[in-house]
Amino acid sequence: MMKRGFIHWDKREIREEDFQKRKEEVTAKMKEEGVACLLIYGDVWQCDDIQYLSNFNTYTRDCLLVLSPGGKLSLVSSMTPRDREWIVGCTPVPSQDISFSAGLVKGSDIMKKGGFTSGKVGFVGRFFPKVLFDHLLKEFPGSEFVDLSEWYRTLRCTKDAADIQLVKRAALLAEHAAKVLTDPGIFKKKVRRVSAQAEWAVRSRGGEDYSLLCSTQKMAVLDFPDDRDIQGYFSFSLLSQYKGAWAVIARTTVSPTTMKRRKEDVRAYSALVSSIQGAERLEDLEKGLKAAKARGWDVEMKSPVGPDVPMSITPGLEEIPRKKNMVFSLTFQKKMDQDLFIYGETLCVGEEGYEVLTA
Amino acid sequence: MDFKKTYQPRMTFFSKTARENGMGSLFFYSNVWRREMPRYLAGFNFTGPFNILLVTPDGKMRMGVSSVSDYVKAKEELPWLEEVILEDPTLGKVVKAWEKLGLTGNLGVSGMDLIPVALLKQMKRVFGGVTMVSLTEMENRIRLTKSQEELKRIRKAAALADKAYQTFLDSVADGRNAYEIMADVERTVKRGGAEDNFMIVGVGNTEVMAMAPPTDRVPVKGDLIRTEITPFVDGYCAQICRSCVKGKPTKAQIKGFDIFLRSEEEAIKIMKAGVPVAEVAKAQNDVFRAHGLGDYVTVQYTRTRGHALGLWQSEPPIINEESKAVLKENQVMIVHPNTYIPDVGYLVLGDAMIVTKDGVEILTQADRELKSV
Repeated sequence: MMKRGFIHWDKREIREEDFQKRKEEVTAKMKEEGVACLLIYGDVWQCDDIQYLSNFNTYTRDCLLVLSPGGKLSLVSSMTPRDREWIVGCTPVPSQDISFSAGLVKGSDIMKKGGFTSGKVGFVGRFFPKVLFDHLLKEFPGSEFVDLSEWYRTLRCTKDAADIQLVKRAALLAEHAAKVLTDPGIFKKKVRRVSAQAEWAVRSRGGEDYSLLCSTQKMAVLDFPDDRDIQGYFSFSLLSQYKGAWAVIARTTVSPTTMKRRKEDVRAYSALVSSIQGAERLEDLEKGLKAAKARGWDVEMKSPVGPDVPMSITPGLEEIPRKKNMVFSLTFQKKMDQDLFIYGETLCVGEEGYEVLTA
Repeated sequence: MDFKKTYQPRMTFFSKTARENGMGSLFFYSNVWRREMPRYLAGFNFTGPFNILLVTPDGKMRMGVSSVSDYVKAKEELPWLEEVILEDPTLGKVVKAWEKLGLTGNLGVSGMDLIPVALLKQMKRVFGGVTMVSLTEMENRIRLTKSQEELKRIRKAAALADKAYQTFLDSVADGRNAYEIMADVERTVKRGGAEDNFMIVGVGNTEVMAMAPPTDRVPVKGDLIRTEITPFVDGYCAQICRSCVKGKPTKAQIKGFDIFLRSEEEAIKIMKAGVPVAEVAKAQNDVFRAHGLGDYVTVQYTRTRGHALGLWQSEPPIINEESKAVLKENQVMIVHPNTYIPDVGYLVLGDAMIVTKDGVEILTQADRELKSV
């Protein structure tokens, strides 16, 4: 999946102070851990860790963020110096602290310049490249490298107001696309054409990415849009992205003929949708999940979802999140003979209950 | 493309070349972003976060998948696989299951830089008896020249790139912002059969130093609007680079574009199988040097003068004067002298082409001119 990315920093959406606040939280942890330097790695696929502190989300190759305990941020990109102009426009990292190097090896120079010779180094990134790691080990023999990825991920699970606004915008884009994908007129049309129109609804409104997996009669699995005609039913799982923040929405719609044949199943699906969309409290959600499982639905919960990755390898959650401002996705899937019914939403834990962002 | 005609010979060739290079088994890790190898070796387009292939010296292939859909698809579409295992999120199942194979010697690993740290650690623990060796260079070498079936797909992608460029022009003419221009182009390529597309743009004048993702900027009179469009059809891509002007182009823009056009033409003139890639770069750069623009063909202003294409949008070799590569028949390249020049800004022009024995077959047919829209 190609990434289109974004370069526009709208300071009404996320302010410099928001990044400052995030940075303070991270540097406090660095001090607590006795870490002299924190290295955060990001590539095209998973750049959200870098974006969290810098607003920069690379659309190609990879990058490294170096954070000193004093809060100085330096960004190394494997793009070329000609990209400086637009990168400067979308990050609070000052131009003089942005550098370019293949393999990101300049990271070690930045550490040296900051006075680091040996000590404890924290790193973040499940895909931190071996080559870069080996380079750092060679440059700083005797240093201790501590993996802080899990801590950083936990920190990001709870969203600040800026993040939630971005996720809400992504959710709104997902709803626009879902309108196209659940329109009664989709039947007998090619999946590819319907999906192209839904994608347009996301991109023309400033959404930078759209990823759809879908199923229709005789497929029984989720797959990419292709030249099949939509017949009988259409189910999909869609991820839309706005400024790096993703929202997940999944729906199933049935043709009038299938409706007659699958009355019971459609009723069960509708009951499921109502139970989740109407769940305001934890008890309601727990009840909804329990009932769904009892009726044979496979349930998956994941967090964080924004800014995050489209198809994350983040393990599913065992329990419904309870911490305020946690954003998570909840998806249900059930095979009904050869038809695959799916339903899913992006939710946020609020002050007193849950908000379904994609309803 | 079926197993016996296409994938089995590819697998056999990979295994043979690996053996010649001192490797035993081959391990291919792919993620959502780099999904080429399952496509190349098995014709499999996975939907999950990642995919793993293991080819053992006996020529058998095993697959690790990361979604239920992939598991069902792999079982149905690839009955010849020795084994399909559905990985769990802790990344523990696949590698553990393959412990029984008792791998030894050098294990060729593709996508080493993409493998999650947790999986890498596990591989080291479970495959204790093996030394992991990167497969990247060998993989690039094997995939460099394309079969007729691969070329057919690339030609389709090129035709779609031309169509997409026309949408781009129409959209600019309609006064749409860059988000909308991109949305219109994406819709054209997707409706036309593309499964994916890589596209960047640049709207403005001399302040534009490079192309990037879009913004809500609406092109205004005098703006140069540049784009690189890369549709993927059945896994394979072609690329087109074009620039156009909103309204009437300035003299500097016309003069600048002419340099780019001549630069591309000089490269095309000398390209054929057997020509060093460095010469292709030099032919392009010399045109800029002749106009006193030698500084603008350096890494300060540009990344490369083109590159190969195929299952990935930027395959090696890249076209630069330091390249040691030599053009081969049926290799697909894009030649693009894209760079920044004073008084114009960043400008792009480029076409995908197949290298032949006697020259090149240019795949993208859109007019090579600075359109005024």
